Amino acid sequence: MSDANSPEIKTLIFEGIFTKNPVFVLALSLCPAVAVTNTAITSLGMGVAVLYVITMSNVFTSLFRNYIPHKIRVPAYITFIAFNVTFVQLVMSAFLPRLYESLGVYLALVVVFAIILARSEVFASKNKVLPSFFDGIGMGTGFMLALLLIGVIREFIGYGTFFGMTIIPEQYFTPVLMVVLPPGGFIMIGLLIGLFNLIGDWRKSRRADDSTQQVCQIDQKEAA
Amino acid sequence: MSAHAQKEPGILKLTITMMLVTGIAGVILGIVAYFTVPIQIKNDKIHKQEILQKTLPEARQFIKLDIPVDPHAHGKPNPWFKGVDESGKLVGYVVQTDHRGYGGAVELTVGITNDMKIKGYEVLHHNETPGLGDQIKKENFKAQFVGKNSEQLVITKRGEPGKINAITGATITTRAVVGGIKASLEKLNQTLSTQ
Repeated sequence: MSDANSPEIKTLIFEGIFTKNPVFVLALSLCPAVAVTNTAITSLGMGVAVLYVITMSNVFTSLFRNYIPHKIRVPAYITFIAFNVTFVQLVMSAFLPRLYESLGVYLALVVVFAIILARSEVFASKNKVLPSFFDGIGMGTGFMLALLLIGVIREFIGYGTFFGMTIIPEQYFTPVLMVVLPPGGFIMIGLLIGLFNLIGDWRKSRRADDSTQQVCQIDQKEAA
Repeated sequence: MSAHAQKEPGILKLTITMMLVTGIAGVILGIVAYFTVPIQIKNDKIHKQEILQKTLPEARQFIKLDIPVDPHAHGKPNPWFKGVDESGKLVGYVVQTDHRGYGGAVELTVGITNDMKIKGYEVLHHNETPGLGDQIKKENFKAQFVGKNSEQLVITKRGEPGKINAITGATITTRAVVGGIKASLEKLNQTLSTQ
């Protein structure tokens, strides 16, 4: 299999965080994005775990891409992913038991997060190790930041706290409970996707404005 | 197509590749687990000890009680203890219980004084609704239990004094806590009186 032209590292990371953000643009792995993001700390924990798993799985897939027969590539990739997830589970249960407990079953479910297998299949199986590594970093960071953003907003509205620190004292604050429940999570993600689209549209229209202006200038020149 | 078919590996190669991938992954994970699992068990023990200490602060030592405990949802039953101070004097008991709540078992560790009154409790594990049911972890809810015996454990929804105020929107969770503590108190009382 021939390798695709290696994309630039900067583009890979930018794409992962903004233009191809796993949660807000690709809308992949929304289940964990709703389930574990009612506090900032669990969001961050899950985000870091996914960042690690996606990066390492990409590296493994890319390293062995020429040795894995096409027919069994999906089970092989899943094994790489499961290997990395189990590794994270073992380390986290030993050193961060409280976080491990609050992530619960969702940490084990990282194995079947669509975004991770998608990056292995779409990117790492066709690219060299270094770009695959940075694709993982970009996508993982995009996922982590998205979760963190959702988590910080939900925790603030739902509990009035930021990473467990009280921002608004309880007597002045009626928590909006719905936000920390799953429906609130979906609504929050919907609103953020909308915001992302707005920003995208704005950038596009600004670029379009620039080009029409240029065209106008050229027209004027020609007219003159 | 024909060129591709030529390169198509046989079932033997597929099997061996998959066996290698899973086998190597398994061995490496085994090595990692060899180092992390003992740490996890150690931390778990420390955490449990901390919870025991928190529910019965006067005790210096916890001695396992010889009471058959029902195995609970997570498999292993949590043992019950009696706490003694430096001189070996009995200062109270620590019982562990789980009771069905709204989202599964609510596991509690309860401190009990010599005269069968509640000293306090800690939530070991729960799956209750965040914001509603998880208020059982809040100090002002916990405070209602302190000093009560099993007959005084009555739930009220109208804020009557001397009773346990149900959490608005989480009556089932409140019932789980009250029910769990009540059942374990009665069981402890019964076992101690027959002994």
